[in-house]
Parts: sequence; structure tokens; C-alpha cells
Amino acid sequence: MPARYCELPDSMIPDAGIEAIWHSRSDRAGTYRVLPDGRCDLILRYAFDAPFKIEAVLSGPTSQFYDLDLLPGMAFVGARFKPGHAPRFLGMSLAQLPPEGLRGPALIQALPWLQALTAPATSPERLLTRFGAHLAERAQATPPPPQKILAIAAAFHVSAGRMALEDLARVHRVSSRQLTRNWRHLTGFAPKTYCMILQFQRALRLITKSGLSPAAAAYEAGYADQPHMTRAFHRFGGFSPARPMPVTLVTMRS
Amino acid sequence: MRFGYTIIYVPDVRATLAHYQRAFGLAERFFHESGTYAELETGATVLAFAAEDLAELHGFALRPNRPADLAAGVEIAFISADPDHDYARALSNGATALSPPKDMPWGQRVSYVRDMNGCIVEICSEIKG
Repeated sequence: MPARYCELPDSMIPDAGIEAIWHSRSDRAGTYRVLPDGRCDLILRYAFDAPFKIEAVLSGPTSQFYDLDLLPGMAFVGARFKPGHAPRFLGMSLAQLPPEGLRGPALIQALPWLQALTAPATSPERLLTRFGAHLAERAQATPPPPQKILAIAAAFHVSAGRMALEDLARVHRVSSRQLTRNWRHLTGFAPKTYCMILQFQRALRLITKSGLSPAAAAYEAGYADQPHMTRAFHRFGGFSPARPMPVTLVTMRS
Repeated sequence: MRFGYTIIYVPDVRATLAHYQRAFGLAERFFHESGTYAELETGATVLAFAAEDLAELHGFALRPNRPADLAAGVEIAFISADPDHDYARALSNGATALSPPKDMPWGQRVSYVRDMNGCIVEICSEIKG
């Protein structure tokens, strides 16, 4: 893989609403496949040898995989927000974010507070530290989501997308309509799409990390049958369960 | 093998621990500072609570325990010297009534509640042998 992706240890994450702070650097040309994970990442992109020209990127609620073209010296610093926390950090509803996300001037216009993050930094380490400090400030400035929202977000993840929308709603004493509307605001996704992404991510981990056969993974992940899982892999990953691509499996926590 | 643990996956370990101490009169044995795992003093077999989001990390998926959902298909049963008293104490401390104490044909007094997360807890007398 052309890019080295690292996540900071948990002890260095300034707030419980952040799932991971990561950095990545490519030392040669290549492509890097990004899988949909239902999350929103705030990213600073810069050239590793000269962290002066920094571009802010906000990944969008896409359910499609895409390939990132990497060049030597491209580097990234990013924060991935836990489901339900992104609007609070960013200061915008994810329902308004286009699937392809926002970057550069368009992003700064939408979120002026990001301007300070794109000021020149003296080093990549300084950039990362400054990024963490800003996020800590944003965390302190906004109240955490209500307990009910956290319980709902947890339920999606704990059940790995296997609970029906009606169940999720009823169990948390909200209507399906309310849940759908809130979930779109919080994540940019319809609950059903979000569940399918979670289900795919789980099946992928069952195969690549737990060593389950595709048949066993399809069963445990809750697919109606193996062909359903294969279709999901092609849709969300662009590969077959029998030959999964060597993609980076990011940390996912609710 | 020997039976070591019953571990219930819950949304809030700290709150569940406190709930079991007050509602069922149990003592804490261990609480991990991360807030993700705790144990009650229950003798050789440990009753423990784990943060439900650990499931994802471990690679399994669960139906989350929620009071408004159908209960999970398992119960925890406590033997009590006074089921009527302990049933009332449970209800006064956040448990929900399911079935008040009743004498069973086999000589046991049995009651059921649901804990704060919706798990079924039985409070019953010793079976008279």
C-alpha cells in the first residue's frame, strides 16, 4: 500500500466524541481505496516536506467507495467523529453536506472556523498538535449529544446494522420518521443505507480479521444469503468477498 | 472447564453497577477506570457488566439491551432469604415489575423484574429440597 496510515493512541484523543485522530503519508505514487464507513472525517491535506499549503477537506456521507490518487510527499491529518458527534464539532448539519463532501474555499466558506487550521505550520508534528488543540476547544464549546441520541447511535453499531428501522425507533421511543430525520442530520445518511454500510464493514472484518469463510461471514453478518453479501461487497467495496482488497480497516466505535 | 462469568453488555457500566448495588444489594468487586467493565461480588461465578460498544471491537454483534425492547432470552436469578422484601427493594431502585412474588408448586417463592437495561432478573427463595 502506498500510504502509511496511523491512528493516535486513545490517550491522545481530546474528547469522547472523536473516534480517531489519524495521520497518513504516502512516499510513492499509487491509489488508495477508501471504503464507505458511515463516518465523517475532517482532513487537512498538505505536502509532507513543506507543511505550508494546507487544504481542509470534509469527507461527505457517501455510500460509494472511491480511489484516491496518491503522489509522493502527500500527507494527511484527520479526525474521524463518532456517529452522532460530527454536527457538534463542525457546527453544521450533515444533512446539508453533499455526498462528495466539501473542500478548500467552499469548505472554509461553510465553516469559517476552519480557516485557522489551514494557516502555515512549522512542521507536521506542529500541525497535528494544533489540530488536536482546536478540536479540544470545539469539544468544550458544545454540549455532548443527548443520552437518547447516544443510545440510538450505539444501537446501530452494537447490532451491526441488523436491527430494522422500526425496531430501532420503537425501542428508543421515537417514531421512524423522527429517527430518519435525526439520523440524516447527524450522519447525512438514511438509516437503511447506514445499516447496509455497517453490515458490509462487519462482514469484511469477519472475513479478513476473524478468518471466517465467506459463507460463515454472510450468515453471521445477517445477509439473506451469500449472493446478497457478494452484491454488497461489490457495491460498497468494489471487490468480491472471496478476494478482498488489502484496504485499511479503520477503527470503528460507537 | 468451569463456569466463570456471566457478562451483560450494557450502555452504561457505571450506572448499571450502581443500579445492581442498590436494587439487589450486591457489592462491587471491580470497576475498570475506563468505565468499560465492572464485576459484582458474587462468589466463584462472576456477574459482570461490559460496555456494549466493546462488542464491535471484539467482532460480534448484539441486540442491545434496552428496557423498551423485547427482553433478551436469558435471565439472572438471585436466591433470596426474603423474596418479598428484595422484590420491593428492586422496584424502589429502578427495576420494573414483571411478576410479583408467587409460591410455585415445587416449593419456591418466585418473582421477576426487569433491570434498568431491560434484562430479566429473577428473585426467588431457595428450593426446599
